Amino acid sequence: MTSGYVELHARSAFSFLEGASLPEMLAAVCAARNIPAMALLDRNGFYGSPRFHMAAQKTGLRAHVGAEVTVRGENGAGNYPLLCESRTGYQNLCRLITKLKLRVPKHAESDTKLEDFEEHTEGLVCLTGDEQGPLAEALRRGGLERGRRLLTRLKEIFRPENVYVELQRHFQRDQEARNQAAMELACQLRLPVLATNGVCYATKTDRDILDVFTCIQHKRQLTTAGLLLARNAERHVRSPEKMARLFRDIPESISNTVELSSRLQFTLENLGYEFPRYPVPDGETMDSFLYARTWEGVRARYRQVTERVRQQIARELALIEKLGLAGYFLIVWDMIRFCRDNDILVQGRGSAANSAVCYALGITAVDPIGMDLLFERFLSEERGEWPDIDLDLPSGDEREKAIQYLYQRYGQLGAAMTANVCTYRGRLAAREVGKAFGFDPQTLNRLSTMVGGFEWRGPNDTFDRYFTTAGLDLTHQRISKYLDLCVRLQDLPRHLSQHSGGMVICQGTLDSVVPLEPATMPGRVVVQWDKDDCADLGIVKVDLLGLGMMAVLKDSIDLIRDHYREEVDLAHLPPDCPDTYDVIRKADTIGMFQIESRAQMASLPRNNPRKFYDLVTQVALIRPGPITGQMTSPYLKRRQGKEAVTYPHPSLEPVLKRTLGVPLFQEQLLRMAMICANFTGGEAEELRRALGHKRSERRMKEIETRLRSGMTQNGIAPEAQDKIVQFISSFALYGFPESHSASFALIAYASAFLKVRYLAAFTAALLNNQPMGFYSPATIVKDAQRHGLKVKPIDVTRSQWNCSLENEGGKNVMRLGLRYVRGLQQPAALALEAARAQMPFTSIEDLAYRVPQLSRADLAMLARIGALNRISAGTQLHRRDALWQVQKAGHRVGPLLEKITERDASSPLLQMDVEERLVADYHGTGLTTGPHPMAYRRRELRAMNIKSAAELKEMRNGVKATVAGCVITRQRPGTAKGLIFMTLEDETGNSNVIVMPDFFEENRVAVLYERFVEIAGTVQSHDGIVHLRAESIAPLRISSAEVSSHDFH
Amino acid sequence: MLFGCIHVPDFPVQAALRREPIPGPVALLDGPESLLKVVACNDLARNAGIDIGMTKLEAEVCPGVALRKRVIEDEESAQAALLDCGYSFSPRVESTCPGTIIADLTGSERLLGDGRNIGPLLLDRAEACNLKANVGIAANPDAALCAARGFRGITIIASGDEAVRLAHLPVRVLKPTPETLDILDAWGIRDFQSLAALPPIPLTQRLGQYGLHLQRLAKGGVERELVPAEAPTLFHEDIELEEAVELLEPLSFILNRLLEQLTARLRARSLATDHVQADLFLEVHPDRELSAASLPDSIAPLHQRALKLPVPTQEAKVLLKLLQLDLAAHPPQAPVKKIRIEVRPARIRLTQTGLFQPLAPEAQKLEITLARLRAVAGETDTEGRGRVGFPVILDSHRPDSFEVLPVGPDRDDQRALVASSRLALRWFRPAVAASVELMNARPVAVQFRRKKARVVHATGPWRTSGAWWDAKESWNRDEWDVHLSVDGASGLYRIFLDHRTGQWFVEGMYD
Repeated sequence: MTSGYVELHARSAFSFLEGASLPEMLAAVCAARNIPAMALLDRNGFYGSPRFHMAAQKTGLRAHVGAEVTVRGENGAGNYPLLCESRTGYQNLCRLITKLKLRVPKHAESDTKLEDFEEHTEGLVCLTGDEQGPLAEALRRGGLERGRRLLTRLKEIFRPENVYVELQRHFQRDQEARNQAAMELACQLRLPVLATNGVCYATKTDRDILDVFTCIQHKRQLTTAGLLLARNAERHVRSPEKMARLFRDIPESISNTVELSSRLQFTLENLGYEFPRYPVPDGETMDSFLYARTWEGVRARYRQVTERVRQQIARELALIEKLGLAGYFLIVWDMIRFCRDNDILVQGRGSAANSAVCYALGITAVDPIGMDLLFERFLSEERGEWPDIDLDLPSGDEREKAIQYLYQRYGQLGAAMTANVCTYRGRLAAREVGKAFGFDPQTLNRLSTMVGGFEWRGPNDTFDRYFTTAGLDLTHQRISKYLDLCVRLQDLPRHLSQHSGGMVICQGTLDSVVPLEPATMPGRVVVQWDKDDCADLGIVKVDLLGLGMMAVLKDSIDLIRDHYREEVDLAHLPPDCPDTYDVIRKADTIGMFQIESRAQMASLPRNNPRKFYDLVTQVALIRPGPITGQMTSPYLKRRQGKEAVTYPHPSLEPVLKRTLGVPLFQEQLLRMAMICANFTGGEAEELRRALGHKRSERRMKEIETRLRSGMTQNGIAPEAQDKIVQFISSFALYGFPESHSASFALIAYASAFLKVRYLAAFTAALLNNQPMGFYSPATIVKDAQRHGLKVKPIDVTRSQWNCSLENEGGKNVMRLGLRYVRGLQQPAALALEAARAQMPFTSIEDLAYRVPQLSRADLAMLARIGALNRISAGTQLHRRDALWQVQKAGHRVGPLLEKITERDASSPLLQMDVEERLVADYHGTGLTTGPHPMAYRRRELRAMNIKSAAELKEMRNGVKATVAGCVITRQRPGTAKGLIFMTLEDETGNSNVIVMPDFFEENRVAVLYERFVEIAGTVQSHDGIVHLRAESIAPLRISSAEVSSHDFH
Repeated sequence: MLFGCIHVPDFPVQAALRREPIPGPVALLDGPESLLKVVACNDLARNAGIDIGMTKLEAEVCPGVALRKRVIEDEESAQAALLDCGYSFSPRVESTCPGTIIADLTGSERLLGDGRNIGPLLLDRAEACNLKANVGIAANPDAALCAARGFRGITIIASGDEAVRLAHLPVRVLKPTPETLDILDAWGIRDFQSLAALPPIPLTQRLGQYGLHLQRLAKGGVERELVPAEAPTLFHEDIELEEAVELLEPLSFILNRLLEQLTARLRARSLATDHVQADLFLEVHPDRELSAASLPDSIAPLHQRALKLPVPTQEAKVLLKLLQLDLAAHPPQAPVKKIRIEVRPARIRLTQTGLFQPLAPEAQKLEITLARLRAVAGETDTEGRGRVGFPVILDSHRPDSFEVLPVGPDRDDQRALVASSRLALRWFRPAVAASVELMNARPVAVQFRRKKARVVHATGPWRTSGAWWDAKESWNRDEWDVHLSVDGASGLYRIFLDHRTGQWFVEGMYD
């Protein structure tokens, strides 16, 4: 008899509300309790298997693979635990689950029958399950006889040697009665018995979480869930000794676990994934075809093909051929070609920009040879890992077109989106646990709004504080239990959604690699793993990412073509345009990609960009990695010549020279590790993944040890070692690779260039693609107006759904689009445009009659914002005239008053005053095209000695000043140690205010909630960057208009 | 025509202050215990920073504000007092809304003088009830109402002056619907004057008859009939006895008489009752020889009993029988000198049973039977569960979890019993404390009821736990089914260990 015990039936939290522990936790507890192997059988999928596999590798656990498959109906209903004995078994189970999932829409219950198993049983071992399993169900429905029929049927389907009668002991009378029946049947039918503990959570204490999950799943409260809740807390990971003691009367049930475990040879180590082949013309191989396409591209890209280019291309192509990746490059090239043919703007980013082949194929727009980028960062022979190509596409319909193209080309079972695991974070946890605890809707709403918020987690930003603020009494036992569960639920998976752009491709056979399921969006299929899991298991993916700015650039180019009669080619923008760099240097960058944030603006005058590479460093500079690694400030000082350029070690000079001795990019850190600590390319890649990975703290520690020993070998002094380790570990907080930075810098430059040259087109495009970026539409409009753009208000006789351009006196002016009318739906606006195109409207009555899609509320809103003022030709109404008419339009008044007619122009109402118009504008459109609210009060403000934003910029360092304005942003970055950055806007521009943490705690309400404030403080002016450090703050009664602030970035 | 309106601003607060006078800022809280919110406050509290809708914790930040929980009964009693104020001037009084009444004062001028005299009288009367009110007097009820709502103190509007006097009041005094208020706000119509100035026909075309009505109200020109307040919601009969009664039997005669009178009054109004309260005022010193010191302190001078019936009835006999049974179970501890019977009126419930539905016992008879059983068995057991009624199994894993309902559940709601054992268990209620000897974590001997029994065979443990979110309700226990042998006799028992206390119990015996 074999000693020991293997747990062959466990569920993780990836069974979504039916398990309560993460796979990593299960693996850790197994290791602690000396369990040599465990089978993770999540419900209807392999959702948690990759993470279990990776965690098991670290702890030395053998991770068996399987799933519980739910069968419904009269015969054989129950959850079938199925274990994969071989790769064939795994592939069978993948296909089976895919088949079951894809035949019903997402969220619908599958109508799986036992017969569905028949074609997919090879290599699978079937257990008879727990109280929800088929045997228990059969015994419940028809006693021993029905149980016998079921087991006989299972023997036929799976073959006798692959069916095990499962026994569990959770100290329950009915379960024990079932066990007796099961053993009797096993004996009669000569089937082996198998002990399992049906693990649902790692430790006893996690039973609470499972109970809460049960409530969430069944939409019940803890007090009313009754028998749905667990009867006791016994479904945890039990040690082999305890299991042996529990089943000492049936020792074979324990020894069989070890025997069965030894049969289960399959692990996720070898999935059998192969990247699809690209169809090439007869007589060509994929390599020859790629070779030809690349050289075509090289000739188009490089006007002069130098020897260096030739060598680099040849080197890359040779490696691609050696690694058998030609198909992958051709597939991406094909995708790019599709986008070009369909006028979809596309640009590669990420490490692909390090490849000259990618540049030649048109995948990326940055010349890696010109920029001296490291190809190994993209592809290395040593790593044995697939390359990663990310494509930026305009967000919206065009990205969808590209995704659908991949589905069409590779088939529903050949391409799928990667999943995105939605986890319980602060807000969701507080809400759902609150529901289980039976809190009323108002409390839940209040909690949801309180929890979350700023990125910075100050000492006060804890659940305790949120709950206290929401009015909950933490001394109450039930509430403290609630708090405890909210904290414990953090990071547990809630459900699967689709990743925004990650696609995996496996020509026609993806369903044998990972189960596929339908997404909520029609026509989409999702794999059961997220992108990290796919990468861990070596599945190649293409990221088709929607980038709002790409859509802005595309729309701008279209508007420029139509209204300026000029053709802009993004690939051939004038390089280093001085006007553009002038504007960037002045930090006048609202609306520009990546360089518009407060922190970017504050560093632009210091970095003083004059050429493209300066922008590349600028984009990388303001990232959490360089900021917390204290690299930003030394770099800027060195740029300004205020600090000498030094290197942590002389050997690093070649690597860090371009960035003045300060590492800003991931590649530099990898090269540093290679040079200083003798890391191999593969080790460097492991370092990169540890840096980019969320679950990596322990890995970082291991790498630090390895780094230090390498550096000691190379005789690097301890101080220099500390510096280098600090550089490297701070990148754990995220920094950019140089290639990625270069791709983004290209877009940043393009956006700046278009804004400077074609302000009207750029502003309209930017407004048509909101929400995006750092500022609200109101701020974008005011900024454009300050730069000389005439912005015309919404007018139903002129406005389209989108913001559009009009020619006025030979100049392009912008007309605000109907999309900004609060509550107005696009179909109604399009119907309005169509009706207007047929014949202009003659009156409000006419508009209401001809566009029935407009509700009375729509009409009233249009009237309120002045969009109906010009509806009657030759007559100028005022807003209240229009409101008066709107109230009547389409209103049936009965026969008595029916025949009384009125003219549109007449109304007994008074015209709106300035304040009323402002309130109506902000309420109805979120912005005003008229003067800024502060402009109306400037004289009074001046009398109060309050400076305007423009005046503040001229003030000297250290003087006291008071500014006032409307708060447009509040930011509390995670890297700023609790500082809050506020931006106040007035008619002359923006003032930057710094709020210290203690000042914030004392003035929380004024800082967070007031719309208009006056702030007094000390001016801090350095290198042309002016801030006001707040010392007092007071609300200001300027207007009751609902101006909004973009907060919590 | 003359109408007087009394309006009490911040009515819920003033109603609460009648019970507990508090000088200074006060705010009332209402809502679930976990999220109490401010629902009303006085001006002083408003000045201290209180806003309606604030949570308790937010309100606590405002200095010096007394926070009290809202009590609806306070408001009901204050409204009744307000109505009494009105009734003391006129027989026709309208309870317009909580905190506001309108009295028809037409004809009272000859008695009380004109509005200038009546106004202070109304105000004084309200103040006597501890309510600080505003008074409006006008020739029509709604003008009086607007004046009382819109102005402080006493406002007297002469007939014909309504439009002028009300002109500057904000339109929200009219309490229009939120949608209409939005429209008026968008139009820039903020006061009565500008609403009154709108052309009526176009206004009607836009806001319908409702808009026109508002405009008429704004002009102060709406004539309408008052809707007098309804009759009291309780019927009661009192009797003071010449000689105190000690025995139940003579008391029954008196009770019968009172109940006959009450049910006659109910019948006259086509009403019945499902709630009867008997207040028996006791003679605490009936005998000169009995000194006051010898009386136990616990005897209260009022013995109060209440009956709640599942179905309203007009039958005095039924009520008498129920009252007799109740008094038999809970007799007064001293002779009765005064009786007051209150019945709460209810609508007669008419039901028609289905043609094929089996006959159930008549509700009243069933109630009497149950009352008899209660008198014999007692109301509740040691765990607070009813002793008489319909047992219902609760949806819980907690062992022996059931409750006893006075009314039987629908048959469909009753959960089917899952037969987990073929044996029937006789529960010991309450479970009998025991001490258990263990060997290898299994029971080998059990001692209870002063006898020690040897465990012949034991199966278990059967483990249940639950309600972990509530310290009071949570349970965690291991059950064992044991075959006990004592003095040659043997039996099957269920014992359990309560993990929270570490105490063993014998829970029952298997048949």
